Amino acid sequence: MREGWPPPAKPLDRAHVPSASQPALSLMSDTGLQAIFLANRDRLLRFLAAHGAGDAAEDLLQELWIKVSTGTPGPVAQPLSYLYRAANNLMLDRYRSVRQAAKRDSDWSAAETDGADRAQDPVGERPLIAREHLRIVQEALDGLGERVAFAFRRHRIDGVPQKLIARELGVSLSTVEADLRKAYRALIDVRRRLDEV
Amino acid sequence: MAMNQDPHAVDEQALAWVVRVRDRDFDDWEAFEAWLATAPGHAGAYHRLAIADQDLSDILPVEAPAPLPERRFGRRWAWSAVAAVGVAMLAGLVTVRTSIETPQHYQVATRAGERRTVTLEGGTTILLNGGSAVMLDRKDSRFAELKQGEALFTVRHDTAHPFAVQVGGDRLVDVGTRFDVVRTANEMRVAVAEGAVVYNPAADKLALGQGDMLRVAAGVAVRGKVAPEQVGGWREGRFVYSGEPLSRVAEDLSRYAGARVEVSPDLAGQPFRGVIFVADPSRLEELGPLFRAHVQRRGSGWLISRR
Repeated sequence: MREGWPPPAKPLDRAHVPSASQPALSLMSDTGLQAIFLANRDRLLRFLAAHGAGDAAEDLLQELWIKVSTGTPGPVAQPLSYLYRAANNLMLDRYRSVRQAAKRDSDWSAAETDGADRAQDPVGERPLIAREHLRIVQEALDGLGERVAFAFRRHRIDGVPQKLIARELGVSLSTVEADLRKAYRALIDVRRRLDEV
Repeated sequence: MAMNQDPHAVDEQALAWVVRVRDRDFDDWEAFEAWLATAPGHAGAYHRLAIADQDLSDILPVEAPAPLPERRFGRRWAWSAVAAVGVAMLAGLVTVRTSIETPQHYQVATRAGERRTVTLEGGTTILLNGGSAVMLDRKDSRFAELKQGEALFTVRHDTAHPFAVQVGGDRLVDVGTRFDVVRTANEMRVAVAEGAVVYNPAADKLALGQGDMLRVAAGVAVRGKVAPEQVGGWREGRFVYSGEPLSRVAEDLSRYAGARVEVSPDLAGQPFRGVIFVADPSRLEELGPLFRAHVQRRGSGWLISRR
């Protein structure tokens, strides 16, 4: 038992708690983000153009504006970086949908020719397959050495900033970057092979 | 750059950008843009690899991985853990405390101003406030250690396996619940929104029910009351005070806003009563009238001082 127990029932006892339904003060976040968007409109447009958005750049910027105006991102620590990242994600989504449309077309012609349908895998096998994939991934990472495997896990799974990983390992940031490139290269390769099976 | 149009070189550069941009601290967007704009093939190479990176999610373990395949893996990870500790000791001052990571234990941490949800097996979620860290156990999804900062635990109760939270030398064990825990350099606070927790079941056996809070500092525990619906209000940037000193308000704001908020010594002890709703942490100066004080930027942080 701690000393001083039972405690002197003070300052926090019988705390009066005011209602939160009427916030005493409200600092608006969305308008803040919108202001930063407007102040950096041209930069964001340039960024989308550099991404190869071409004629769609203005439309994508419009889409970004709608996201900024209607989404509720909550407080944003680095607003400009947040907007750049959102723009980057828009470009990736666009690339993905273009690619999928192309893939659907080619799948269609493939199905015409051999009639195979991979979507009919029994559902019960999925967990087994997932576990098998994990094992293969693990082996691929192990094969790259423990430092690479550690850096990759901390970065990709634990979400730790690369600068911190470098500090944890006592190496430079560029070494961590090189390690991560190595890991990505290997895993993208693994992924490609799994897709071919 | 213009000389580097060999496809392999472009591919290698694109991968380097995927790795850099992926870092949550990345902010060199102009350099990235310059590279993208250098040659028409750059954007395509980046898109291809960035999508391949996203697609890896299907074959990678999620945030809190299931127990890893046994084998020799343990020892390899231990090596890294030793290295990490060594570096932490050499560095002397590490801003984010690195703790001993073993293959079994792993840490999830947030920077100040960042929030993050961790979902554990069995339906427990931990919402981490900014500047906080928990150590988790790959082999035991019913345990978490709060290393620093604040976390809101929502626990699916399982009588056979109660969920335990270690906070320094203290332990909280749930009885099916949602509760918020804060750990600072000199105190621990817990507030219960739903259900109940037991404080130090082995020693104090103190049961805390809905609306109870407990503050332990310098070996003295003080019990108090809190409106259950206010527990974890920081999720929405909402803070409720009923006479806590401004120093405590500043501490909460620091964790939430991602910038150090200080109070001048003459105001630190002044009690504050009211509700603060912070939707934009970059505009804390608007809190001034509420505190009847000046809130000004100072360096990268804020100072609350007499006006």
